[in-house]
Amino acid sequence: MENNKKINLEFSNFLILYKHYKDYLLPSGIMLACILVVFIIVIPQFQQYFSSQDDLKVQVAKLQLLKDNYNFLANLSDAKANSDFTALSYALPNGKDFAGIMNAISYVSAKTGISVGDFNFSLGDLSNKSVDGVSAYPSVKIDVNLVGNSQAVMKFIDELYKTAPVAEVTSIKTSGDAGIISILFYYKPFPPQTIDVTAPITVLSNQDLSLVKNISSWNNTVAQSLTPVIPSSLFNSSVATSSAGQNTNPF
Amino acid sequence: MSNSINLVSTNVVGLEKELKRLKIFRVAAIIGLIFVSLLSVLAFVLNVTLPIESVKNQQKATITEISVFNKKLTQYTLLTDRVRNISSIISNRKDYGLNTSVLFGITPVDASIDTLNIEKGKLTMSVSSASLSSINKFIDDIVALGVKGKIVKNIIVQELTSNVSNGTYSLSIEADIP
Repeated sequence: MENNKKINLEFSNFLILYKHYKDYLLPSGIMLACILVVFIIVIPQFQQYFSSQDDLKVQVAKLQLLKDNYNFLANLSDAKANSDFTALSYALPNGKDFAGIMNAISYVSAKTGISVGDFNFSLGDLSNKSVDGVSAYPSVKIDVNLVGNSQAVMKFIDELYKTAPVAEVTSIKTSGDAGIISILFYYKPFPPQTIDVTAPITVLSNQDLSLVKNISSWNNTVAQSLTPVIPSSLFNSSVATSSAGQNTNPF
Repeated sequence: MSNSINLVSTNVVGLEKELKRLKIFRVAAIIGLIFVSLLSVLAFVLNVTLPIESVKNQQKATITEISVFNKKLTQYTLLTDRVRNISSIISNRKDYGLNTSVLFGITPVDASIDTLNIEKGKLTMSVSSASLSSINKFIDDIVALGVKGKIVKNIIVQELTSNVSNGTYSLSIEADIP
């Protein structure tokens, strides 16, 4: 009985409060809803806007890069690119270019008037690492006997350094009218690569262009009659992968 | 009597205050509602008007255009790879041409280089001449080069011999090539 009275009393209090403050309920509800909308919708929307703006900047930069790539490729001369690539591919072949090496030695011999004796090829380490020369690059080592004095041998070397494929003389031994030189002929497989159109194209610097021009003027004993050595598989799709280590040499 | 009059007066004043407070509360709620609505619309419009999709579509279109030059791009990428590698090889390879040409240049006319060996940066050579003064001049010149250290350095005269049978002097030297 006492409990019922207490309940009735609290309920009546509630009714009194409700009647007293009922006009405040709607504005309070609106204000509460506004606060909830601000925290749940408006603030996240603005956060999304700012992050979208950052994303937009990234996407615009990416688009600009793509356009730059497109313009660069559109303006790139096919003939020039072909001839440069051909010259460079003979200067640094994709694989062991024995014919190119033989031709280079014969050509230099004929040009300098220095007779060449026996050849001695050394295929070297299967790991494709050069021991004596520029160690990051695989090479074919060849010992060449020359008939000529020291000056003649040096003349031969000088001419060899201006002939494709790129070579390095690691040892010179001359005595009287005979000499033996050890030559490393470098090669480098095409990198196993994915051609990514969204990556910036590395434009050759003036120094690089000068090097290309210089190499194009090198004695090239075989290039003229042969097609470029670029593996055709690289052209098949935008995601092209070369076969590293595989000799795609046309010889 | 006096108390009851005062009580009525207080209630009226309180009621007016209450009505005023309620009015302010309602106005604040309406202003808040309008403000939040405007903010919501602004945020929505800002988000909708960002041209991300348009930029992405342009990217796709440009990629399609670039794919026409796929062969050219591949070739150019490989070309830059060749340039980089050749440049590295050429800049790192040993070229003894300058060193030997200088050595040939300081060799007296009546002297000859009998042997010349270069391997792993080490030079050994022997020079012979019928004139001892020519050998002496060669030694002076090569020592001067060794002091500069650009062509040769750490020069060691291994031996100086006289061949009585043919009347020549022979000089053997060893040096490092920098």
